[in-house]
Parts: sequence; structure tokens; C-alpha cells
Amino acid sequence: MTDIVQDPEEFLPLTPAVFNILLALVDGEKHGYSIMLEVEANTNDMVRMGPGTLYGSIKRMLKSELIEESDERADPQMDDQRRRYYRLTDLGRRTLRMEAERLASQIRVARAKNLLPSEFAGRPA
Amino acid sequence: MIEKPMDISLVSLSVKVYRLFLVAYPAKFKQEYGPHMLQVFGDYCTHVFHQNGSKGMIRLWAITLFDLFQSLIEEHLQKETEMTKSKFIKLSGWAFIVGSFAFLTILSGSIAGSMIGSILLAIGMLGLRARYGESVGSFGRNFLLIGVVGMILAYAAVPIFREVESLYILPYAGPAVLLLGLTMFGLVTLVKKPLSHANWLPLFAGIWYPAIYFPIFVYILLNNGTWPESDLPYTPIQIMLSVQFIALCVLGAILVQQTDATEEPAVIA
Repeated sequence: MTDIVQDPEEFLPLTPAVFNILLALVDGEKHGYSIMLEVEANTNDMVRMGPGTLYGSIKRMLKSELIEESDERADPQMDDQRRRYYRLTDLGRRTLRMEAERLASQIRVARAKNLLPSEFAGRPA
Repeated sequence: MIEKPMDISLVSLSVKVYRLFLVAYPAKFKQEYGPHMLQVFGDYCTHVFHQNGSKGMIRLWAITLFDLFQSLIEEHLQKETEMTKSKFIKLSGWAFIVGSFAFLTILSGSIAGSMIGSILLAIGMLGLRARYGESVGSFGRNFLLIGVVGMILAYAAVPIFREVESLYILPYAGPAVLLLGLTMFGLVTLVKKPLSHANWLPLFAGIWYPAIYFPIFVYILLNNGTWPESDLPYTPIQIMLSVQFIALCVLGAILVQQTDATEEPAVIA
């Protein structure tokens, strides 16, 4: 593990896949399948990741230390197959926050130009 | 819910077909993530089939084929880029070593030799940037780039200012600007410590020639082109440049050796 502190800004802007994976991990560690399902749920099926995109992104995020592997264990809500869990690192959390703030400021610009209503809350499901 | 034989066979067949597709991924990626990808695909197949039946499976396969196509290209390209980057870094290490020999001809006043040396050292610096750029941050890696660009501009300025008498040592400015970039990078490496050891080396390898050249350049400008003949400590200068030559060789050797040892390229963000 490197002692070098990385600047979250160097990762911005995040791709939709990376942003949504990080977002899925905010409330706790998850395995690949539950990340995939949560991304679909969070984006109203607008972002659908196949296993190739999911694990390609996970591979790059692990190398960039945005996420880390937790352990391999069975999901009590599924079958007894062991699954690899992932969780956010501190760097990942800071990067995600920065990206969310960047997107929020862009929403404010869109509202100022009357492109979005002031109470815009995303497309309905 | 009791699963009908059709349910099981359709999902099972899909997983078997997907397993065949996984063979096309790069070996390292496949070894690390293949089993997990297969597991996720199988889970998702079951989920989709229970929700939308065969129709859902058709849609799933359309998405999966697109995902396979896109991610296969990306992983193979990245593998090629990583190998190319690794080779470039190793080559740049050799460029540092050979370039430092050519650079040493500056002791005999050879402009051609120092120019060849500068070009090779510039390649070395780009290799340093490729190897350690992520670790030192944009500030550190930009110094290397500025050094290279500055060198090019300095050489470009030579024919423009050839008529100006007091700028007769401008042809020797290129390596000075280049190595100044390395010196500044060296200051950053003292703080960021990207090398596994000897983080003082880039500074040590960069500082000597700029520290000699720029004061002489300023002296000549301020003294109407007069060379500081009697004031120059020639022997210490020769020693300093020789030390720089050795330090540059060592830096090049570290680049070559570390690329050999790890074969783990810098992260491509």
C-alpha cells in the first residue's frame, strides 16, 4: 500500500460506470452482483453494466485505490456461493464527493438557464 | 417457486455460452476476474429470466454481447498499452544512459554531441514521467515536460539569435533548460518519494549543469559577451559534470531495472 496521498481531482471527471459503482458502495461493502443491481436501481435502468464493464472498472478502481477488496463470503440473502466483496477507500469517498459536487454545480447551471425546473429530481421510473 | 426444466436449461446454456466468450479476454484479467464475471452473469440470468422470461433473456444477451465487445477491446487495448508503456520506460532508461555519455562531450565544447545527448536525455525524462508521473502528481510531472519543451525552444532560438554576439553560448542552453526541468522534478521527488529508494537522485542528476550554465550565461549578458576566462573554476566544473554524468547513468539504470523487476506498469487512469 503506497503512502503517497493522491489528489481526488486527478480522477475527475469520473465515467458513469465508475461514478455509479462508487455510489453503490457508499452505504457499505457489496459484491459484484449486488453492485450491478444497485446501479440499475439507482439509475432507473439507464445504466446497465455487463460483467465485462463492471469488472474492468473494478480492476482499474482497485489499481487507483478508489476501492479495496474486503473478503470473500456468502451472501446470506442469496445462495451459499462465496462472493468477493468490495468497499470504498477514503480516497474513493473523497473522489465521489468531489464528483457529486461537480455534477451538482452543473445542475445549478442548467437550472439557471431554465433548462431544468427548480424542483428537478430526475426522470420518473 | 419450482423451477421448470426449461428455466434451468436456458440459464445454464447461457452461462455455458458466456464461459466460452470469456476465453477471449487477456489471460491475466481472465484469471483474476473470470470466475466472478461468470458468477455475476449466472446470477443476473436467473434474475432476468424470473422477471421477464425468454424475452428478457434475449434483451440480456443483446446487452451482454455489446458489453463483451466493448470490454474485450478495452482490456486488450489496455494490455497492449501497458506493454508498450513498459517497453518505452525501459527504453528511456537506456536513453538516459547513452544520452549521458553523449552529453559528456559538452566538456570538449561539442554542440552536436550535447544536442544528441539532450535529445536522448529528453527521452529519458519522458520515461521518468511515464513511470513516476502518477506518483508525483501533475505538478511534478509537468516540470519534466516543461524541461523537454524548453529544450526544444532553446535550440529553436539558436538560429534566430545567431547574429547577437553576446548570445554565443545559446547553443548550450538546451541541455541546461532540460536538466533544470529534471532538477525541479527532483525537488518534488524529495517530497513525494515515488522511487523505492534514493529519491534525492533526480535532483542530484539534474542540478549541476544548470547551476554552471545559467550564472555564466548571465555573466556574459551583463559583460557585453565577455567570457569569464580567468574566473572560471574549470576543474571543479569538470568534476561536477562528471558526477552528473554518473548520476544520470544511475537514474537510467534504475528505470531499466525497475521495469524489469516489477513488470507492473503505472496505472492508466
